Amino acid sequence: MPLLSIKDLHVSVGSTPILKGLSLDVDAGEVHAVMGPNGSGKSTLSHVLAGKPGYKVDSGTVSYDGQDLLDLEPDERARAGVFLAFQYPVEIPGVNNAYLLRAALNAARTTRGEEEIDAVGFMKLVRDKCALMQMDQQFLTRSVNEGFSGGEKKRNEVLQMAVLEPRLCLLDETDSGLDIDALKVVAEGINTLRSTERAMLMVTHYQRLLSYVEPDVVHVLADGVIQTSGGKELALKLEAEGYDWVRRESAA
Amino acid sequence: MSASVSPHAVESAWPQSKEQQAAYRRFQAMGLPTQRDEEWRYAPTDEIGAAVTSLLADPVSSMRDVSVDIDSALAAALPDVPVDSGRALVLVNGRLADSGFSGNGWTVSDNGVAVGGDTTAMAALNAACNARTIALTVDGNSEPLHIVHVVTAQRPTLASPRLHVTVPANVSANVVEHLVQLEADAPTVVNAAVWISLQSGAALRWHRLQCLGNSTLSVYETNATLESEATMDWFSLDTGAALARNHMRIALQGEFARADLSGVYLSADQQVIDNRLAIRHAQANASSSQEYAGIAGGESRAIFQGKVRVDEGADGTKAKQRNRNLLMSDTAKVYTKPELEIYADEVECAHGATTGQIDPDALFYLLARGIHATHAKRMLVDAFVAASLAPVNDTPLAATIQQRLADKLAQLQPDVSP
Repeated sequence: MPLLSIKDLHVSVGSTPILKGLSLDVDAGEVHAVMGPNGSGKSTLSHVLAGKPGYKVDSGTVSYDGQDLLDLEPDERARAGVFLAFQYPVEIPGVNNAYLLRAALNAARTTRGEEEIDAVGFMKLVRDKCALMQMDQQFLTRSVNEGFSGGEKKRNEVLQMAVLEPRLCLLDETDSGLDIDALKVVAEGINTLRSTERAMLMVTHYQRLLSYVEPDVVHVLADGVIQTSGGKELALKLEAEGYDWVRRESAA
Repeated sequence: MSASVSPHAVESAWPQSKEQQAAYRRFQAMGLPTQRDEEWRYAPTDEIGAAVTSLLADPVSSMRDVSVDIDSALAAALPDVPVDSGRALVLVNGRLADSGFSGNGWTVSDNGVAVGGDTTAMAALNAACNARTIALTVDGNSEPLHIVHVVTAQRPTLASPRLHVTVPANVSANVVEHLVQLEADAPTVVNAAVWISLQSGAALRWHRLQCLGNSTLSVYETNATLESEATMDWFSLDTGAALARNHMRIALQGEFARADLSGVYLSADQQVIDNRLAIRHAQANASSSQEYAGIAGGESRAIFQGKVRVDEGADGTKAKQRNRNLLMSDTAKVYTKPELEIYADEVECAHGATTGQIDPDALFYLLARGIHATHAKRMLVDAFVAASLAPVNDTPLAATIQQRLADKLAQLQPDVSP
């Protein structure tokens, strides 16, 4: 059974339909990329899966690890192992990064029936993950994302992902706003997290990130449905030829 | 220990002395506050008027002494703060109780004559209700003083505490003031008048925690004067009372005086919390700050009116004023009015006010990290009040304040939609 199975999902914002019958299966151990032009519904897909308010699911089902994902509150989804790396990570003045990370980790652990991590164990874990993401530990004592550069924010997202070790990673335009060095660091962080237990769904406009994080499957999302799917060579074709041919083929 | 209150109590006729009678005439001449008064614009003045009028219909009864066992009253009213009755100045319904207060550097007398001219009707009424002012002064080796106002309303009660605190030149002092209530059954008005005189170089830290009963109306006036280089660090937490009206007037009368005020107030249900601050920079090179954070839920009203006046010639003044508000329901109301009145040329003044709700994007971000909704909201509220709480973080009161905040937020929480 796939870890994530989306069937005929229809989602609207206000009275505007955005997803119009999207179906997608992702198995544990796989990395899928969802590519598509602006306005195709890529971010809507990741937001709906994470439970962001403001979207209306009109019909369709999403099962995650055998549960009805849409029936869970956003925080329940996260504790069940769904992680959204935000396209625009939110700045939260006055909430310290380390505090957020530890609260998040402990919420997940207690849900799994594990003991809360102690301060020493937590600091060691976070030190290791900071090293992986080439982040200075002083980030931990700063307010969440406040005053971070675009690249620092994205690295911080992957740092959180590395600490929380989710089972399903939703990466929403994680490559946007990154220079090439930061892109490499972020990609390396993501690659470290690839495992047979974990699935990843990367939503992206460009092929760039896919040169560093090679997907098993590439889907093309346009007009609210998956138009076509294929291997990583599909991403290269999109990069070379744009999205128009996909639309023409599906219209034909 | 059981104690009956002071010998200046109302026994038969009221007002007793000529001074009290004169004060009562001033009160009548000025009249009860109404919303037509600019400084009372947003407060439920009708309620105050009706309550005071009703209590004054039978003043002897509403100001009658009560006998309270001080130790058990303190234990009941302040379960979260261990206050030794010997180290606390306890006022029961506004009157000094014999708690066996032993000073610890503080000298108390209730022979003090009335201070200052009362400029408001409620202060005049306070004067009419008191034959004497409780006068406190302190030496250089004092311990923190707990002033505990215990209100116990077994019958309709008008409590009128009247205090004058003097800190002599170059002396540092700490005051922790509690307003607590044992029973909230009968209609109660607390009408307090407090004077604070800080002589040159005096330093006073005053933390005030108000958690009166939820049907009590409280009008609390503070008048502070600071001579040169005197400093005052003030913090207040208001969680109680049906109406809590805090009116502070601060006069910076000497050069390099400094007054830093911060406050947190939380209102639920139909509560009204009204902070009115007026700071006057009368001399050059003084500084002041106001950092107030309000959280309003239910159908409550949270009011902030802050005014800074810089007199002509008070060059080198530095004044900061900030009021931020968090609305926790669709039906709560916030009124905020920061004001600057500047007659000097070279000053640095800043003011700002904001009102908003918990940021839904920030909340979703925390939820998306698996943090439970109640915890996530609490994190955002803590971040919101952090600046106002900074001055009390490392004091013995910090845990008590956190607990009061948590309890009050739990009361507000059902009003929050995720």
